[in-house]
Amino acid sequence: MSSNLKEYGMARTHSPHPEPTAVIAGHPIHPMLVQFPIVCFTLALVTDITYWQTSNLMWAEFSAWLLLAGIALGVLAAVFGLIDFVFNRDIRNARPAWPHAIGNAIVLVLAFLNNLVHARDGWTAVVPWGLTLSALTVAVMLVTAWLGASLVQVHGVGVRRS
Amino acid sequence: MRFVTAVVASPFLFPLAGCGESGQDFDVSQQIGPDPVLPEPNPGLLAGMKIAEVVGWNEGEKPTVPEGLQVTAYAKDLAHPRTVHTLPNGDVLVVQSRAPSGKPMPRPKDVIRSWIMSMAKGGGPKKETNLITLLRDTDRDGQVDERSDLLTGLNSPFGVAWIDGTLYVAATDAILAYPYQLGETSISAQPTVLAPLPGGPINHHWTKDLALSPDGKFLFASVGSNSNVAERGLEAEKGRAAIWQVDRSTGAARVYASGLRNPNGLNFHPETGVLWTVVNERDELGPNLVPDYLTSVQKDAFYGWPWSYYGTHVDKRVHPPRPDLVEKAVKPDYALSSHVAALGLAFSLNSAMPEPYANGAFIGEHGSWNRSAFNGYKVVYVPFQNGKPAGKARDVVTGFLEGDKARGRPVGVAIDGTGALLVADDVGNTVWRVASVDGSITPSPIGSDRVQVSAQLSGTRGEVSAGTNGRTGQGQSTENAPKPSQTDIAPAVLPQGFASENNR
Repeated sequence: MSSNLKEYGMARTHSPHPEPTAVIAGHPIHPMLVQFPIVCFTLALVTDITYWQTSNLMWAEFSAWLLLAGIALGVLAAVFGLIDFVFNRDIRNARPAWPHAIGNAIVLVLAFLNNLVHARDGWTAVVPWGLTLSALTVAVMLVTAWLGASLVQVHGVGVRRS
Repeated sequence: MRFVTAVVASPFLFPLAGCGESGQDFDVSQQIGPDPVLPEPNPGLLAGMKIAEVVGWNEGEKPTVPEGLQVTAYAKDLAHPRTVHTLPNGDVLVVQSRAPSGKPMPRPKDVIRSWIMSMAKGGGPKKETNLITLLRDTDRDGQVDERSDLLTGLNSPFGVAWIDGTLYVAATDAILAYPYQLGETSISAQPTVLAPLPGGPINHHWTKDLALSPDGKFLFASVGSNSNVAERGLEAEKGRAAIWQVDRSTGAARVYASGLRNPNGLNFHPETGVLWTVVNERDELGPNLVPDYLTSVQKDAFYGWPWSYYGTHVDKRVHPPRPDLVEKAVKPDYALSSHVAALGLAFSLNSAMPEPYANGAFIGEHGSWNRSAFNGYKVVYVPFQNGKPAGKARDVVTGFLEGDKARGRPVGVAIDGTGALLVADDVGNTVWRVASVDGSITPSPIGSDRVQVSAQLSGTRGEVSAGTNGRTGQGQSTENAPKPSQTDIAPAVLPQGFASENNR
């Protein structure tokens, strides 16, 4: 990391509006991408429950694709989130930042395991462990998404000053 | 952070992973014979995968055989030979084929696996395959003297049978009938469809093998399942994981036995006239489940797939469960150990093989992918007594593996016109001939279809009459009336290129 960036960060220690590093024309990238894993993992729970109730394999196939898309775009979102986290101490110092980062790492680990479980054939791809992992993923994600929203709405991360 | 995730994940990981491949110290020979040891299912988090990269045979290299036997290359430069079949006059048909393309891939797993499998197979130009080559050993010295391509451009053929001036070819979607007299070296006539078989678009286990009943009236066709364990849905499995009985005179078909995941190597035992097959069992339950097997096939019997394996061992991956069917599942006769991929079967009775191999079954084992230590990749011999397996399987043809690489992989086996063993080696593009070192041969050729009617015993090349055309058994007895209804099992459409009037 260049000393330039460090000084920049230092200078803005008390800024109420910490600026993310990964942006496109001033719009932070991380919050744009997090929608995808949030929606995919949530729908995967829905399709898992539907498969559990119907035994119709189509729903288990939907789950497998949703989990794959969720983890692929989730990792991408995490990369940009991590850039913001690492390069701006103000963001890091915001109270929800660490739990948000650790929580989402847990979400991705759970989703990775869930992808492997969902690669099994038939019923045991979902019941009981696939479904359990899907529910846990969503449960942890509810907390981390709440914390992420707090970072923006309470701590003003990425909110423009003017 | 890693610590946190490990702690959070561990309660879930433990029952899931079951600690991966605990089967390293498992003695696979416990799974060879009539009563295999079956460990608890241990799927792990990642299906164990180990595929041998194909390197082929260098000049002068050949498989290994035990003392008393010698091995030679019978035919080289073939295009993925899968099965070998000896006609009553001693001519050998080599069926060469590849899997049909265009299989839909409904899950990410299917895409990823096919990519891994194709990487392991390597690139390079592939010879045109899906053809049947005729090999002729005119002077019966164990060497091929004439070679001609009998049929080309077939749709992934596998099994063949010949009787009464008709060559039956089991393409992947139908049994085709070609007019063919013994001795001819080409076929120009268009085939008729004797009976459609379940084909694409999925067609997961696509190899359809054929056997002719000893009375010559019926063909038996093997139809493998459309999935590992019904993960494509039961609708996709209609008429599959079964052996069909097809009336040669009418084409009427029925399911003779079912619940056989991927049967191949159909053969009638020469002594007892009982139908035998080798079956590939299911994957992804761990390195030591489920043993592939050799079994006699009982009429109307159900062998468990997909609901149970090896008799009544329930497979929880199939839902809803069917305890009523599991209860009926017949336990197979003889286990060959897990993931060996048994694809070929030939009985040695009345062949010219030396005494230790004089009465038993040769089995071609294509080799494993779903375990971390290779299994199979060889031809084994199971001794028989009174038409039943009696004793441990012995290795007969080995040396297909060289470390972690494959020089070849055995598939179909047959006894050639001189009484020696032939082994089709698909990735090695070779047919190997294994014979007694003393050079003994049978007095006259014996065809792979051991039909016990006089029509086919007219034997030697050139003398065969235009066929007695003995279409016996025209009228079907009620006993043979198909049950269940044919609309439940048979595909409603003919293969591509066959207009309906073309069919008979």
